[in-house]
Amino acid sequence: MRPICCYLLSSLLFLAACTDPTSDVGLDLLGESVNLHVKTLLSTSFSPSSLVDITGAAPRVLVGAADDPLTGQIEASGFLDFAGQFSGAPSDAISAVQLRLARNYDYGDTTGVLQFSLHQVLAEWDQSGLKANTALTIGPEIINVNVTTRDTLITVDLPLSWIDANENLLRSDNFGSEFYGFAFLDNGSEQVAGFNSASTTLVATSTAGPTTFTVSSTYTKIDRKTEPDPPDDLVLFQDGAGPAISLDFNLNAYFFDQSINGAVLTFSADTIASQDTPANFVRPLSDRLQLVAVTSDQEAPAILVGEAVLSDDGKYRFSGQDLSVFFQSLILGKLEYEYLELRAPVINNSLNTVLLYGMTAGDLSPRATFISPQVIIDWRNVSSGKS
Amino acid sequence: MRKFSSCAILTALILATAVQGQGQDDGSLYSRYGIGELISFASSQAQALGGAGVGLFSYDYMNFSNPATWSRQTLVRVAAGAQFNRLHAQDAGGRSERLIRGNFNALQIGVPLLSTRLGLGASYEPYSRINYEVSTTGTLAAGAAGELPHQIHLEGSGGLHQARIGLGVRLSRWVSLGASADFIFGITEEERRATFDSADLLNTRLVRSSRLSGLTSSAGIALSFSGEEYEISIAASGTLPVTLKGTQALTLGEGLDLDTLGISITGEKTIRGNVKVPLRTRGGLSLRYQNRWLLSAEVRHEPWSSASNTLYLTGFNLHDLRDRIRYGGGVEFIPAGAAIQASYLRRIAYRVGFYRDNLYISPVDGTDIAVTAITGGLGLPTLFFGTRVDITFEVGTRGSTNQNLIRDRFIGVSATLNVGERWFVKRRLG
Repeated sequence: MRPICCYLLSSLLFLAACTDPTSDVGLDLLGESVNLHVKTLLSTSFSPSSLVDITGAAPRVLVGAADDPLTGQIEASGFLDFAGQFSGAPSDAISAVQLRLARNYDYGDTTGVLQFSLHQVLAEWDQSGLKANTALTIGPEIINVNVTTRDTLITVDLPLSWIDANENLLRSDNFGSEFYGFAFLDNGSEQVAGFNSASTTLVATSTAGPTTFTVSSTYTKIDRKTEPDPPDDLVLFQDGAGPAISLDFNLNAYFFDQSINGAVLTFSADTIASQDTPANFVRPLSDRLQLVAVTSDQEAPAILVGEAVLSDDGKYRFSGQDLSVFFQSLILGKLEYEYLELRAPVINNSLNTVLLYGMTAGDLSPRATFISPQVIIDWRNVSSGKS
Repeated sequence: MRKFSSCAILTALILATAVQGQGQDDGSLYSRYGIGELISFASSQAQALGGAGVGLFSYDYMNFSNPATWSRQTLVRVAAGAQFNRLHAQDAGGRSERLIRGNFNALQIGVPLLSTRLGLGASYEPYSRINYEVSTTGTLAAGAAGELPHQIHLEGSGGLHQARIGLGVRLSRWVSLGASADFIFGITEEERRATFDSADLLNTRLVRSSRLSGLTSSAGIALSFSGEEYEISIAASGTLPVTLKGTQALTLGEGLDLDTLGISITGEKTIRGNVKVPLRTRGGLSLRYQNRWLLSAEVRHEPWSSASNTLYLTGFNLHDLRDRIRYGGGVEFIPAGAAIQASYLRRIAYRVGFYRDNLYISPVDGTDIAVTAITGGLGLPTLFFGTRVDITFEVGTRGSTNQNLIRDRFIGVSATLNVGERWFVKRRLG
C-alpha cells in the first residue's frame, strides 16, 4: 500500500505544478477597477513672485537698459573678472590693453544705442550663488563706451592712463588673485546686450606679443526700474529681472497618501502676446522653464523638480520619472515644500519673457494631470465606518 | 507500524505544503471578494458524500463537521491530504482560461480518551482562500501625456486558517454531545501592479495586506437510534458568530523599495477594524444499513446578510452579501460490509454524492452565485487495520456568464491518508 500512497500524493504534486499563464477572464466583471485613473487638478494659485535670480557664474553677462512696454524699464550691469599669466618678460612694457566682448544676446530696441561705462572692481567677489541684487564695490569710470552697431565682437581699448596704473598688476604672477575685474554699468542704453564669457577676453600687448586673459568670474546685476504691465488673464514671466511665477496644487484633496504612476504639469503660453513688440524691438521668448519646489527654509536651495521646453503648440509640459517621484514623495509625506515656482534655468542669463495663461483661462489654465491606480482608498473614510 | 505512520504523515504534510506553495494564484476570481472562498473539510468520507457530514459517525474517520461525532473513537487517528483542482473559467466576453491549482486539505487528529465514550479532536485546516490572477494590457488616453501603453495585473493570495480542538462525549446510547474552540487566523494579500512602456512613469506595486484573527466555538449534538442492521443518526451543529479583529496595511513598492501607505485618522500606518462572521448552523441525518450502505444528508445555513466589516475588503458591502444555504448528500456502498476477509475490491468504499451551494458574497447586487457539483470517491483499505487512503473527486460549476459574471467549471481530485493506530494499550503478561 505504501507505494500507492506515495504515487498518489506525488501525482498531485506533479499536476499542481502545471500552471497556465495569467488569465484575462473576468475583466468585464472587474470593470473600471482594472483601469488606470487620470485626474487633472487645476492650480490653486498661479501668480507672479518676486524671485531674485542667481546671476553669478553664468556664461553670459548682461549690460545695458531697455524700456519694454510689456515688462517695464530694466537696467543690467555686467561684471567680468579675468585670470591668466603674462607671457612676456617682467620688464616688457605693455603698449595696449583691449577688451574683446563677444556679443551673443540682444534685448530691446535694436536700433538704439548700447552705452556703458567701464569701471574696475575694487574688492574680491565670489561669483558662486551671487544674486542679481548684489552690489559690488567699484572704482571710478575708466572709459565710456558707445556701441551703435550690432557687431558680434565689441572691442574696448583701455586708456593709457589705466595701463600705466595697472601695468605691474598685468605682469604680476598674482594677476588672477589681485585683479578683481571690470564692471560694465549702463550709461543711457536703449538695449541690453549679452556677452559670452567663454569668448570674451582681455588682451595685453607688449614687446613680446599679445597676452590673452580669459574670464574667470561673471555676474550680472539687474535692476527693475518700473513694474511690468501684462494683459489681464495672462501672467508675466521674465528671466533675470523677474517676476517668476509661484503656483500650487491641492494634492491632498485628491491624493491622500497613496500611489501615483505619473504626473504631467502643463502651462500654456500666449506666444503671440509674448512677442507683440514695437518695431525693431527684440524680446526673446523663454524657450525653457524649470519647476522648482521652494521649501520653508529660505536658506535651503530650492528643489529642482523638472524642466520643460516650449513646444510648437505653445505649451510647457513637465513630465518624466523625476517629476513622478517628486509628487509621489509629496503624497507619501516624505517631502515638504512651501510652494512651487517656475524659474528660468540658471545656466544662461537673459531677460527672456513669456506670458502664461492664468487660472481663469479655462482649458488653457495651468494644470497637473496625475495617473494613478483606480483603487484609490481614502483610509480616513474606511477607518471611520463600513467600506 | 508507528514508524510507517509517522513517515506517511510527514510525507503527506510536506507534499501538501509544496502543493499549496505552487498553486497559489490560480483559482477562481470569485475568491477576490470578501474574506475569500470559504472552505470546509469535514472528512474525506463526508467530502465524497457531498460534504454531508454532520450526522456521520465512523470508526474510520474523524468528522469535523460535528464535534459530537468525536465521542465514538477507538483508534488514535491522523488524517492529512491534498487536493488538486482544474478550473475552466469563462466570462461574459467569451474569454476563457484553464487554471490548475493544488491545496492542502487539512490535518486532523483524533484521540480516544475513553474508547467509544469520550474523544478529543484537533485540526488545522483552511477556512478561506484568496487566489486569483488577472491581467490586462491597454492604452490610456492621458490627455497631455498622450497614449500610454500599460499593463495592469491584479493578484490575490493568502487566506484564513482555523485551528480547532475539542471534545465529544457520548452521554448515553443515543445521545452524543461535543464542543470545540476554534481559532481563526490568517493573512490575505491583494496586489495590483501597473507597468508602463514609458520610462517617464512609475511602475507601481500596491499590496493591501489584511491580518485577521478571532476565537469562536462550535458545538454539536447527535442522536442515534440503532437496531440489529441499521443505525439512524440525526444531528445538528453550529459555530457561534465571530468577530475577526484585524489590521490592514497598504504598501507601495517601486522597484525594491516599499512604502506603507494609508495613514489613518489616528496617524497610524495601519488601520484596525473587524469582520463579523455570522452564525453557522448545520443539520442533517445519516442512515447506515447492514454496514454496507450509508446515506448522509445535510443542510447548512449562514446568514451572511447580517455580517459586517469595518476594513477595506473587496465587495464586502451589505448589498453584496448573500445568506448562504448549502445542501448536499450522498451514498456510500461497501460490498463486503464489515467482512475483513473479503476480496480487496469488495472492501473498497464506493461513494457518490452531490451538493448545491451559493456563495456568501456576490459581485453583482442581488444575484446569487450558485455552486452545483457531484461528488464521489473511493475509500481504499490498506494492509493496516484502521488505515485508509481516500480518493475523492468533485465535478461542478460555479456561477454563470450572465451580468458579466464568470462561470467556473471545476474538477477536483483529492487524496487523503487516514491513519488509525491503537495507542496507550497496556502490555499484559501471562
